[in-house]
Amino acid sequence: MEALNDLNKLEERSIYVIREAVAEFKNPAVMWSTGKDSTVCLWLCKKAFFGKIPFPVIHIDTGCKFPQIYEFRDKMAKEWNLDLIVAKNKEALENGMGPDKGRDVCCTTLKTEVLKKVIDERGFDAILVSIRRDEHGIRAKERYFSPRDKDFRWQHKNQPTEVWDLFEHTFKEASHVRVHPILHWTELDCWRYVKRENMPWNQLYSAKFVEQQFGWKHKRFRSLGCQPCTVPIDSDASTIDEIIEELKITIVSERSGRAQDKEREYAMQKLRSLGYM
Amino acid sequence: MIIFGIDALDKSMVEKFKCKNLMQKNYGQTDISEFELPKTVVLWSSFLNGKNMEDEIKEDLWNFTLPKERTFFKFFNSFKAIDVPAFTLKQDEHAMERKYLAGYFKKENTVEEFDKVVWENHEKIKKEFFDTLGNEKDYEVVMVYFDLIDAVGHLSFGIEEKMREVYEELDSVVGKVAEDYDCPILIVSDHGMERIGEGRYGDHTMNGFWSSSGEVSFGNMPKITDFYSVIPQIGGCDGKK
Repeated sequence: MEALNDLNKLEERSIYVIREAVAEFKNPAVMWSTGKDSTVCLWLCKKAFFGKIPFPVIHIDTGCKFPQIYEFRDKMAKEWNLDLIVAKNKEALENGMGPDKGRDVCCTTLKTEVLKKVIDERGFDAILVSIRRDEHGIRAKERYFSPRDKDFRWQHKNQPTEVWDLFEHTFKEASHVRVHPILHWTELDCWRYVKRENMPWNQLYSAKFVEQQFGWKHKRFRSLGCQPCTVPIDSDASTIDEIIEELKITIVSERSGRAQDKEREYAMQKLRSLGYM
Repeated sequence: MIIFGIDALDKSMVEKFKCKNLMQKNYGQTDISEFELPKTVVLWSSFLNGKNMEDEIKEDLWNFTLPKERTFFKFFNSFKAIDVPAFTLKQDEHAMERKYLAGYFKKENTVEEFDKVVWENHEKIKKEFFDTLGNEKDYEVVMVYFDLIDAVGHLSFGIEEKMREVYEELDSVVGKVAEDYDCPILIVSDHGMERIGEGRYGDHTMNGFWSSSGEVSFGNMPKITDFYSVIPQIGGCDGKK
């Protein structure tokens, strides 16, 4: 019963944030990667507006995601009657952009630039993004309503406080505002919620499915990204219950399978050891 | 004599970008595998001093400074050392670069902002170097240190266009000096650099680089400490052509 109350509170706050965003901004949209967090966020958006999400859903297609991501996206978009925008930098892909050009360059070109373009073209003033404070140290500093400048930069030392559920939404210098409905959730909360709501989830998180699809034994994805930059973790968890049990005792970070994060972390450690920092 | 201390200059990259001026008449790799870690200040102080300085420099790395008497400069009547680590390093400028480097990992600034600081410092050092060479005062030896390749490489080694740009910049600096001055030129790097994984970042390797404008050859894999006794024998500078 306690667990139910706990999830109810998380859900209630998220729905409040989503409704605030829709009330305060003229033209919001929500990002959806098809991963568990953004799918939870879509589910919450559906709940907030009685089954129909009243704004567009943006999927950034880098052209190198797992086929299972595209399948899940198309299936759910149809089932949930989403106003889906698939944003893709076709020109860059045709010119051979990929992680071999440098992962940051690749991410900037195939993700950030694409999002900038779709925001400009469609005039979105708020983008709902499913980040959580427990994902990374820098994300712990985020607010529910967080302004971004034209280069998507964020000044974490210059943010308004958010007290008594009053969210500042007028930022003169901002190109748009990021809204973070599940900021206060943890990875474990998301899975418990998926279970409670009996939500659809991308099977790439299941070890059994990964073995069937790729032939890899004792592996599953814990975080979904582009194929070249995402590696599975060692795991036998195949059902939601098994995933939840695994997460209760794990000491490995959620994004440990992301090559870009690994390299960044490694580079930082090396620079420290060499006396640069 | 002119000595270029070029941080992280890597033999395979010099060859890849066909930097003829950096190659000079003779070139090769150095072996720094005797060092536990390829730390910049430790390696340059060992180059200046002719001894492995790893045990001596344990703390306060960047502020460590050798007196002239403990460097090969003592063998010369006149010398100029521009921004040489462990000797005449410009502390404020390098502290600023390190601040922006750390800032990148803390997401307080971008790679481009870091690069801008590095390039500005590089241009300042380059100006001071050419001003020194153009000065009427003659020095027996001038040593200049450039960290452009190392600094840019740490965050952008996987981006070929950026690395080509910094290698071509240093190649043109050496080319200009070789064209204008009738001097023995020695180029030495403290360590090389390689890509971390498949991404953008670069890491130090245990092989530095050397090249010489004269017939002097340092053979197969000299140690960074071997240059100490050879430099006084290479001789001074005959001045502008």
